[in-house]
Amino acid sequence: MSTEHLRKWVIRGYIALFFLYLFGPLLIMSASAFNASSYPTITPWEGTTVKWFGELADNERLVSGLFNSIWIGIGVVALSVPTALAGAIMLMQVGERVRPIYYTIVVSPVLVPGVIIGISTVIFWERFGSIVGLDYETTNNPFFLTIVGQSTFISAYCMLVFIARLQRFDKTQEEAALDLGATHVQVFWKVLIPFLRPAVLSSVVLAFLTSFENYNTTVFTMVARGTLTTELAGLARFGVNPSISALAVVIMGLTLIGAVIYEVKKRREEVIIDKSKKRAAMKRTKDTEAAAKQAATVGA
Amino acid sequence: MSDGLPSSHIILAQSGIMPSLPTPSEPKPTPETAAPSSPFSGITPSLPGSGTPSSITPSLPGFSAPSTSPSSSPNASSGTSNLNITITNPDKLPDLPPGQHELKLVIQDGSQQPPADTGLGFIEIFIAVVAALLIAPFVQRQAGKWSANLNAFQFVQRNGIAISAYLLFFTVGWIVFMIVLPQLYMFDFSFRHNLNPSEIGGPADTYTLKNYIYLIFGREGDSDLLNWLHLAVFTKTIIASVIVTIINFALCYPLAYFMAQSVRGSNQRLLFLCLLLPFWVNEILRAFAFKLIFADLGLMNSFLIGIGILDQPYDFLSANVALYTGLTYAYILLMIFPLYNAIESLDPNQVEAARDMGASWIKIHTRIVMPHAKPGIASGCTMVFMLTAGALAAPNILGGPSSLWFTQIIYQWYNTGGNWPQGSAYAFVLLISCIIFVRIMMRVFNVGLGDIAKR
Repeated sequence: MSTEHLRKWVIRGYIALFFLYLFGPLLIMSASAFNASSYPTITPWEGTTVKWFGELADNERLVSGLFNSIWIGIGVVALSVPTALAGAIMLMQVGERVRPIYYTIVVSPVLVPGVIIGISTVIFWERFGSIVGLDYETTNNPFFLTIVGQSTFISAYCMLVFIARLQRFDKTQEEAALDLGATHVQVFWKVLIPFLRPAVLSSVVLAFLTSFENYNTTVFTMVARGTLTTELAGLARFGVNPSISALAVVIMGLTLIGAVIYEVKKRREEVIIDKSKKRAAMKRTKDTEAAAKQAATVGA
Repeated sequence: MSDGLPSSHIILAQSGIMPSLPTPSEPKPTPETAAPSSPFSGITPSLPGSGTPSSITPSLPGFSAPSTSPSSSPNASSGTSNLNITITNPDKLPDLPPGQHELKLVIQDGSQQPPADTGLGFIEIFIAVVAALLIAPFVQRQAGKWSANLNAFQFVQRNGIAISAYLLFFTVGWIVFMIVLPQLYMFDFSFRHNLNPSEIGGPADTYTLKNYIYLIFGREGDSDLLNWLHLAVFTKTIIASVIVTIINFALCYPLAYFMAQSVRGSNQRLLFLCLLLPFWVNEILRAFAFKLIFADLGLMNSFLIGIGILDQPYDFLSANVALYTGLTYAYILLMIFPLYNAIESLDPNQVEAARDMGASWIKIHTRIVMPHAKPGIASGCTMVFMLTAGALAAPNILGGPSSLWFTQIIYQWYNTGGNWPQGSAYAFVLLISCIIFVRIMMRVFNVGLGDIAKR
């Protein structure tokens, strides 16, 4: 019994340490935002203050970076969610022989380092643009490049979300609607999209947040401009001002609220699915039981 | 990084053939000022001996080799005059008496140039229309036969025209213009010289291996045989990424096993949420948090000095302690979830049966749990390795001043170095190493790519 007891405590201690490792650094950083010390630290504590939050609003680069990030996030959502949906529907329809190749290609951006996606996007549009005669200003526009570059892999993330949902789609619904005279476009908007609604919402949140916090690709595609994340990286590298900790608190607060809403929604949806699955399973067992009974009585 | 220098413009400052790493203090002209102030930037002397076949230019005035190439530069059409002097090799012109060098002055004036960069000219469209008309009757005759067995027709029939167009437009656009072509262009670009935009497509725009040779052997004339600096950084990046991956696995495996086998219900949901929350915090901020802890005046030094282990602050940043800790932290969740998902599907009765039969604790894990969790282990390890090897933010923030990560060298080539082809070559080497790693993982763990990418 004592070894069992010991085992339990070892596991508990391990989990406690693990979460200390996960949350400790973030808590320390948050705390340092309220320290009056001119260097971001919590030791020694030189008095509690909120003045670093005030300094944030005065930093013009951060403010303009924030707006850039928001615009890019909207652009990425607008590009990558339809792309991901098309990619997922295509995966369901391509032939057996093509499917592995197709899947490998569309999933590969998840595995390619973001640095490489950024570089290749910039090079491609610079050279391709001049070959087909696109305007130089368009193909080298940092916003265009960043939206396209980020969408390359964010579409793949979103596609995985759509695939998970599409695998549960009942094809007969679509066929029924078509048989009753609906057009393909009507089926798409009235049958498929309502079914995919949770996945669409998840993808929108996922795409926006991923775009917002992306650094590796953006740092290449934004050229001379900056998003909030790249400006933040500049501050984190060279700056020794606690206002970055204050910004961290703000961003963490906002992202965490978003993340909690997102996760809770996702979990709730999963619970609903589990329940409906269970109900279906129970119904099935009941049906088989009834059938068995019937068979037994018939046999008797 | 926000150094304020537009990297797309810096390429102009480089006179293409030099493989040297320029200093960041070099003047960086913008394209608007570069062309008029230095009209001779487009001169390409192809000296005898170094003459490639492309150095023989037709001596039609106003119609030189560069202008016939489809990839003429954006500058050429903007009205600025480029002067191209081409001294051709006399050996290659048999009509001329030996010894008589011919100096050809080909004046290439942008305003007189045919608009080569509009892509589709009238002729191409005309040919396409004629071809379509010629093919049409044949297609009409065959369409009935084809539609029965052609997937494309089935596809349109199944989805309707509008939806088919939507699906094809986005999927093809994504695959061709965002995934495949950019990688191919980067691959192509890595074999090219570092040229001014005005020279691209010109006679100097040939293929070369020198960008790869530079990574391995360094600059020509260096005393060292190999480019130790960059090779060492590359090796260090790969080895450190492998170590970070192993540490991550060791840290996450027990927790994933515990979560999958012992935690149920609302506890599990809470645990999940707690694990996910740090993952949603910006990567930069996660790295910055570690900088605070390991800085000279940070918590770790204060603590160690406070309890008397250290006399003076230890430089954790230079020793890369902060970097490795931060990298381990950054992608830990990409390890724990695949592991959890894989272990969760294991029937607990199997473990119990093994225990009843007297299997030791180690044997249960090495013979039952780990073989079952193979896809999860492969997925977690691959994701962590790829992200660590491709990390740029954490090394930028946490790396010591003297130590580099391979991605940082790539970034330098792009930004301060102003040598994009060189950067592409380095990026391609990184990509290839990552692909090799994925292939090894797929082979060792006997899983498909789909298992790895699924998270």
